[in-house]
Amino acid sequence: MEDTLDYVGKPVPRKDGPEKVTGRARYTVDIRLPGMLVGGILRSPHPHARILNIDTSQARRLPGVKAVITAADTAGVKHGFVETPRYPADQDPLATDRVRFVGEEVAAVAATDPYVLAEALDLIRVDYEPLPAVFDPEEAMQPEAPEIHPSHPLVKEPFSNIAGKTETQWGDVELAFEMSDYVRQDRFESHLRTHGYLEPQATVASFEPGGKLRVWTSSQGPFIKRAKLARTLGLPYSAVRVSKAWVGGAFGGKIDLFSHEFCAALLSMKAGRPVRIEASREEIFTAYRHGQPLILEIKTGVKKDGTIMAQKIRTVNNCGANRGSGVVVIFLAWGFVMLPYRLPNLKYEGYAVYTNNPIRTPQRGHGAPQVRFAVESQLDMIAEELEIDPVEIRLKNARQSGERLPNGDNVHNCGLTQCIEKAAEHTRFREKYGEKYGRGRSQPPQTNEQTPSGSIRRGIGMGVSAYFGGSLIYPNSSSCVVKMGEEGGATLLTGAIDIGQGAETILSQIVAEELKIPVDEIQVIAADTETTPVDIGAWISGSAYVSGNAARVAATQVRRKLMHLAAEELGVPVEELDMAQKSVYMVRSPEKRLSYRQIVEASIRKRRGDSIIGEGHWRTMRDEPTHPSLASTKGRWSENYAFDVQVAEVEVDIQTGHARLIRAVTAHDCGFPINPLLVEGQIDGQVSMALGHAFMEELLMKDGRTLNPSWLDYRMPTAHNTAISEYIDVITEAYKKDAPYRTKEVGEGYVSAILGAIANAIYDAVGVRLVSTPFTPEKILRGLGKLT
Amino acid sequence: MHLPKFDYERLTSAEEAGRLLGRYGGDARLVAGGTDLFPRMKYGLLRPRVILDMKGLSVKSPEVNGDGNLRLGAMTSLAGLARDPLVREKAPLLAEAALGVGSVQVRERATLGGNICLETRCLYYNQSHTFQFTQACFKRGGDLCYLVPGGKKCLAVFCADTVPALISLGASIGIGGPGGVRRILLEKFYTGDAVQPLAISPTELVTEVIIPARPRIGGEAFAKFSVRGGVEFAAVTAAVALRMESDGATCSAAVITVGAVSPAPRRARKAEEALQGKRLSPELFGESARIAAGEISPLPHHGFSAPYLRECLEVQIRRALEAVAKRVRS
Ligand SMILES: Cc1cc2nc3c(=O)[nH]c(=O)nc-3n(C[C@H](O)[C@H](O)[C@H](O)COP(=O)(O)OP(=O)(O)OC[C@H]3O[C@@H](n4cnc5c(N)ncnc54)[C@H](O)[C@@H]3O)c2cc1C
Repeated sequence: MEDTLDYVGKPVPRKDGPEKVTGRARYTVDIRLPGMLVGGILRSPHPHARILNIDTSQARRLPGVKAVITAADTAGVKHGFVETPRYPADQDPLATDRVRFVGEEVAAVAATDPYVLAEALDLIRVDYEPLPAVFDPEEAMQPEAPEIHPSHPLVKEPFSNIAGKTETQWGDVELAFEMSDYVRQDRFESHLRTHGYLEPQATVASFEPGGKLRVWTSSQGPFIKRAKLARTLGLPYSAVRVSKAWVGGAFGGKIDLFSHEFCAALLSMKAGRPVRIEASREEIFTAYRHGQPLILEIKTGVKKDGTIMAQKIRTVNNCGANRGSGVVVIFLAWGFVMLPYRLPNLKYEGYAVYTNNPIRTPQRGHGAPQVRFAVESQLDMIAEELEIDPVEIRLKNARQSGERLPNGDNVHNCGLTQCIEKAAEHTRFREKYGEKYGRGRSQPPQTNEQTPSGSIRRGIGMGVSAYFGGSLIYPNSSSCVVKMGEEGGATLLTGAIDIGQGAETILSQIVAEELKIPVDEIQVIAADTETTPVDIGAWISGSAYVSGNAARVAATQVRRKLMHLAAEELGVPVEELDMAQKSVYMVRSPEKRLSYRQIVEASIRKRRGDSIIGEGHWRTMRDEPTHPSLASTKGRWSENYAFDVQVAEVEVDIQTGHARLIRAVTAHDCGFPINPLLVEGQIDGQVSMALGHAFMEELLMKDGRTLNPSWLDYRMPTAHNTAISEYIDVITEAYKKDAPYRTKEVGEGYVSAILGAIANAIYDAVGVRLVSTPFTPEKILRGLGKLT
Repeated sequence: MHLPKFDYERLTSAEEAGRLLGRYGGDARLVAGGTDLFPRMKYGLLRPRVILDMKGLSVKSPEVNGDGNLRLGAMTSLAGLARDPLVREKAPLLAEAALGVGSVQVRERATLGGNICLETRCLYYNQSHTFQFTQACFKRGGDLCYLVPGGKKCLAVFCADTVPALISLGASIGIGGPGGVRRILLEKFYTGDAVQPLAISPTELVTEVIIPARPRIGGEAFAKFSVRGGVEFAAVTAAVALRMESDGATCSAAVITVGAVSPAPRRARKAEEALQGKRLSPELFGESARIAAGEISPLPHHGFSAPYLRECLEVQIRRALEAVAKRVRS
């Protein structure tokens, strides 16, 4: 049977496009239920304080107030991004005896309208006893720092506020440093950024008379929300149904349980009416969970030829008031260090440190941008010292196909070397880079009146990154069901949620491919904990691989059934049949064919009405018991590693210090693109997100309070700021019928290498080495010696 | 976030405006485009009892008087200004500055009068205070400053983009009130007090803007620096207008106005003097810009440090001067 692909690998437009651009798509904030109340949250004004008393009596008496809740009304069950024996759940949905960050949730109210709500929140009296607070992670580690939580019992060093530690090593770093020709140590810092999802966090909860809690919430996966809601509310899973609404962006910021979700549910249970809570943009900027600023100290030893001998790395994560995903980032940071380059000796330690800042959560790349910025910057510093060009040093150390990683994983087909070569060639990197190599630096002509000629410098830089695709984290696996329809179309039932990344489109493409049914005729029922099977969720970069393979298996079952039925009907062996355009035909005489409609009819006729259904299940690393240890990194992590190289070209105005990305080239090994259009969209999105990260976006905070909680003052890039983005596909895998495929990931990895590339390009342009993000005009001018 | 409740009156004539302002005084607030007022109301920074909506007032089209002055109605939208052929011909500096404001959507709604009457801004002030910075700062009627702890006064900055341009053009404004219409030089409209930045009483309104005829030989340029380059208040703005001798090469008079770095727009008078009577040259521009950076001490704002803003201001003024030199008409 020949493997011609009709739908997979094709630039199929997004299925959700028409619904979204015509405004028909229903998001959580669009849901209106009869009698629905509006809910809101009272937040802590203190970064750290003891709660002495909460008096809600006046608020309860206010006409229009239907429910008021505090910690006293809850089941007292904690939750957390990580819930393991080492890192048990540590967050209260509503603060009990202490608040640990400004904006922490203290009480919630449901009322008939927003004015009553605001008044009621105002009427709640909370007596606080302020406590000393600490915001900087290195200060918070000091033994005499205010204690936010006790240090983790298994961390023996005399540090305060240690939420968790990741520690691992291999080889002998000290010996390797001795054997190195050149060793250097640098410190890199990254800043606080947030996701900037356009749709605000919002939840509608309705506790129905039969005892079922219905929930619509803006999320990255309904199953984890159901699990955490059920547990914190003290309900069985079967009493909680989380259903689909379209999601207007998430970027890692809508994974685990948020207090407003819990509060909407509990308020609805108390009030007996539906409750909707929509976070204001200010609340999101000030009190919700952001990404994680890391401090990285990196010591690297190399041979004269650039071969990396050893690295010693210390990471400090400003992890906020609870563990959140802070203890995950220090684990992942290790992974993002060891992935792209061979690293024979490593000593790694990462600390997640409690501070009186909001809790942290994954943000696209989950630590990779911070880590790759540091490693790629330092690699260029080393290359310069050794007089090796940046392309050479990367080629020298790049991992190759079939390499085993120190954690036991295998990189399988790895296109990194090709990516480096192609990106360098495409951008004429070696010609443009660094005049000190005698190849001349190109200067663009400058005529713009506002930037007089002579003030603009152009530079080019390269960065490398790698990212895992799918790991084992609850709920670990995906299942799908595919049903044949009477007219020969099919319906896919999947728990996967489309958050704008195109999950429904690519899953439809896979089913379409297996069954040779046009994508338009695949109906998708998705993301409902009651009617669709379990799914890992749109995070850990696993959808295309895990949910995709589950859909493939389910569709394959349907295909086999169709073929067998057709074989029976036509009276020939299955081997002589093939399928195309919603029909099964005889390979030798293609005019002998049965349409799916006929086959379905035959099935109904001959099998007493049985319909044709397939089921599929997939779990990454099927036989691994669990995810790797966050503390020791032991255990398998993933079976899919994507690699990418990004080249940035920047312009820097040496008078204003203003720098901008003008061109980004991404050469990537994503396995193979199930949908090239979506891959391009992901790359463009990540490039523009990264340029926001590099040049514009920063949450400014002072003593735990946010200074710029608005779209106006938190500068996300606009369409005018985007750069030219080009792509080079390095395809290392293939989609074959009847075989598991190993597509890699495209949703997170390409937001990272570009950051190091930009830093290196700025250095190339003006000779200023920036060791902290963002790359502000002020830092560049300082680097140029223009500010005192 | 929701707007607090208020009563609403839609003004239909200047007389009615005068009457209602007289009646409600400080309890009322004028709203033109609402692009500054409504966000502040949502943040709870002010809760007027009555909103007097000016959108019902007729918008006067720009016109040139017998004496050659350009007259603009306060209700002209910024987008309209930037598009208007007469404005582009008679006051291109203003059109240029208006185009720097916010975004397309904001400019379509925002008015010239509203821009002139913009409140001073500060990151600590321009946000809601439901659980952050809850104690009132100077600008909210309290007695502390979050920007400079221990500070003795408010340090919010005035960032309206059109105002430095208008001041450099020598504009004056008409202010209507119970006693009729008074006319003052726009420069005198700004008090320098960040808490009460405008010299206007609650019973008055800005009705029009008058811009004197352009000099026979001269030129202007506007520079605004921001990081995103749009939908952003300025780090620094500089508006430069030069009047030239008949030789077309010697500066006879200069006005340099700097915005966004202090509670009121600032003239760089020493830098202006340095230009007077001199032949234009890159060296002269550099010197003048250096002097300006020496005489104006920028306040840190929106995350920019004072030393950076000083450097930035120098560069922006120099660039504006260089741009003028290229544009000088004879
Ligand atoms: C996203 C965004 C970006 C922005 N960016 C910029 C920017 O880059 N540059 C900039 O300068 N501004 C910016 N602004 C602020 C604002 O849009 C403009 O300053 C605008 O010109 C204000 O005009 P308005 O008509 O909307 O004012 P309104 O909001 O209607 O009024 C502003 C104030 O002036 C008073 N007022 C209005 N008209 C009169 C009058 N005729 N007489 C007396 N008092 C009056 C009002 O009572 C109020 O106090 C931005 C605003 C937003 C929301």
